[in-house]
Amino acid sequence: MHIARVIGTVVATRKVEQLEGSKLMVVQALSPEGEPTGRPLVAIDTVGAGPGDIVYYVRGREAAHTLEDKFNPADAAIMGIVDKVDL
Amino acid sequence: MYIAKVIGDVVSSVKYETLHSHKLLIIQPLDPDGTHAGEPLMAIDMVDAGKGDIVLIVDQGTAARQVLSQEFPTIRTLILGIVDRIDVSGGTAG
Repeated sequence: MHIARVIGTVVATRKVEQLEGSKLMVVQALSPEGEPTGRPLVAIDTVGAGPGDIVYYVRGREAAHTLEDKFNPADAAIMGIVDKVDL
Repeated sequence: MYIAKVIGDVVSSVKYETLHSHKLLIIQPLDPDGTHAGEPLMAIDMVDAGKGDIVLIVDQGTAARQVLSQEFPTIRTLILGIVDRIDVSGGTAG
């Protein structure tokens, strides 16, 4: 899992049915010190994150497993909202 | 699997249900000789590791399925052990 900031949301009314009803957020990966790293990506959200939140996300099949229907094409999913990072 | 150092932890009260009973640590992947090898990331602690520990990491869903006995794992990066010592031919590290 990687720490990231939610920098936006994606609305896509026409999409594959497996993604119907899932929230799509734009996330920017951050280093533990809070520096942006790498390209922003689109992750599904199941914990109720909003723009500006510091979150953490998982990539790969594990991301798809956060939805009800486990067989969906998502490859990134927000797993939680950060309260505090201690280094 | 690979070696990493625990460099911090994440406090998070709102999170996906399968994460609730686990400590979330930040790890810095290392080469066996101790040099940094890639970006820090977060891992689920299975052995009560703490900041400064050198640990053994697996970063793969099916491994998480076995360790956590979850049919559809939502976790892939796990701390499997705390390293006491690494003997690499040509010198000791860690």
